[in-house]
Amino acid sequence: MANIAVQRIKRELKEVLNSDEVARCSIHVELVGESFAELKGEIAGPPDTPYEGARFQLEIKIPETYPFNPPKVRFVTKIWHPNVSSVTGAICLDILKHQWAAAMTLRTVLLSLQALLASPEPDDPQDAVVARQCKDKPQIFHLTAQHWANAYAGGPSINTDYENKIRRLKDLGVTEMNARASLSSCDWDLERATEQIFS
Amino acid sequence: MAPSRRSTVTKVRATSRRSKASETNTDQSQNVSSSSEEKPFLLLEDVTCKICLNLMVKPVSLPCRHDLCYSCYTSCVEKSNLSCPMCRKRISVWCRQATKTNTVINEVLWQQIQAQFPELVASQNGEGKDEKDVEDFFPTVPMHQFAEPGELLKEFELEQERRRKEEEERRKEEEKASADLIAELAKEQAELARAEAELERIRQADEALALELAEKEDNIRKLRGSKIVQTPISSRKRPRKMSSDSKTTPAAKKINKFFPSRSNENDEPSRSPSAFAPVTEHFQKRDISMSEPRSSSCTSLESIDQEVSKRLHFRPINAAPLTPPKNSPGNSEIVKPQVVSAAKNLNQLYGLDGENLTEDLKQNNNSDEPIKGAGVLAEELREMEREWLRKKLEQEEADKELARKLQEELDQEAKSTRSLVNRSKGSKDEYQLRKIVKNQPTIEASFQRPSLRKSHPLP
Repeated sequence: MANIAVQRIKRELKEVLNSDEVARCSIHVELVGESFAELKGEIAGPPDTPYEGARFQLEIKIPETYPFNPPKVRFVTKIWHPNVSSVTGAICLDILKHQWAAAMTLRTVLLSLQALLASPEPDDPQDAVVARQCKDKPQIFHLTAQHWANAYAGGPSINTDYENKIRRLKDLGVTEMNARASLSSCDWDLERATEQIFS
Repeated sequence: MAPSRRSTVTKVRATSRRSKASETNTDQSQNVSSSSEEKPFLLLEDVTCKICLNLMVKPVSLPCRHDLCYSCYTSCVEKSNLSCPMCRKRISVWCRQATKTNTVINEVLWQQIQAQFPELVASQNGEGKDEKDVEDFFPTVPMHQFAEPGELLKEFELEQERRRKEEEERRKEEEKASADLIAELAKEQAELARAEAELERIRQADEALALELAEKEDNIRKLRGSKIVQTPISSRKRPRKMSSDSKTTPAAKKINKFFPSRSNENDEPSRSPSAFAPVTEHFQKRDISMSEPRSSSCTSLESIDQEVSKRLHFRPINAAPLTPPKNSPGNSEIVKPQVVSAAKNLNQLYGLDGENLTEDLKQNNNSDEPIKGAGVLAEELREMEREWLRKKLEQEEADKELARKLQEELDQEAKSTRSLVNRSKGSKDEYQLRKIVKNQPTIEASFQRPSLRKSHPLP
């Protein structure tokens, strides 16, 4: 890895770990392995969002040309968000692509992601299904995102209605993850979800 | 941070306005110097490159009022796009112009930085920079791990407990294993003891049987002792007294005292490894000295007996007559080996080493005594044995006397006959010459007839 990249990452880690956000447990970064090529990030769900109280794990890969090229970031924790793939965790955020600037740091990236969670952009979606739900049925989107945050990211609110629907699908031999994904994409219509799974 | 950023923004606007007014580098450097004049003491924050997060080395001041290291600037231009890494403003025009006029580096600012932070600049150029960074960096890594008060102790205790349990388990396992092993060993030992007892039992039974047999044999011997001359001692008795072989040799020497001329010849065959060779040899020798048939047979058979007792078979004697007839040149008469006489001579021989036998028997009895505890019986047996041996010795003396007389007689006869033998051709005692063979005998043939050639020696 280029010397400048390693130096940058070292200094950025120092910056992040000494920042206010870490002190408030809002964001967190740690190294994975000895090299500085891969890091593990963690962001807290921003308040007043369906993700509040949940913590999302991120995979950060530092390219060789860092900081002149953006780091590759994706969600490890499953999340129901229009700009994040509900399957792969890929993030659609301009600063992680063409809008990257060399002056940006890990801290700014994580804070940007937090901001993204707080203000989803359904018009520039990564996951079209989620984006449509977000636009058409914001209420269901909110509940679904909350439910996903609860199921995968340790969110506090439990939706018993959704839980029951998942259990009924599970009784049919569907895995919990598949059941949740199908129900979420079918706006929690059990019949449609069943049809989708078994068609 | 916020106010400085705001000021940057205003400066950017000012610069852009000025650049719009097509003002050149000199103007910009004036601008920089004027700004540094406003802030004569540079803040470290302001001269830290936003790209490498280090102190700016050879700073480059972009038209958007953003500064960065020259190295970061070049990397940015090469690897990224031609826009400011901070505000993404296009810098391609400025870049081209600055490169052309060689005014990329803001020398004024660079001098100021060098003046104000000489030690930092030095460390930046120095080699030990990286290590220092690492030292700076690594202690900060575990900062996020905080233990509740008493948590560590609890963890420690838990671990201790776990270790203790593990230890306990292991000890128990070990104990169990050793107990199993002990049980197994005990079983093995019991088995061994049982086997030993069995062996002991067999041994005692064997001993009893052996004693009984010895008794019977002694009785037989006693019976035969009355008619010593006729009774040859059974050859199967010999192997039983293997230990007395070495003692037989001195006894044989006693005989040889009476026949001093043959003593050497007798010793040799006893050392001979083959069982057959000595036999034939002896018969040959006997043929040479035909005048003493009895004594010679006696000695030859002695050696046979030695061989027999060593090799535990009596065959050589039976085989002996099968050897081709020898026409010894010195003797007119062909004497066939008389195996029948062997019995007598053997008997004599055994009689001679009677003392040894007694000794053997004594030993045997002594060894038997403690086991049986039948002292009286042993005494009786020994008495019987002694009696029998005494008789044998007497007989032996008589035989020896007779043998000597016979030898003398034969010697005389031989002397008288030898001078009178007619060796002339055609006579009865003529030399038997080899017939002339036309074809040279092949090697095979010579191999096939060694005994023949031996039996017809040239004169």
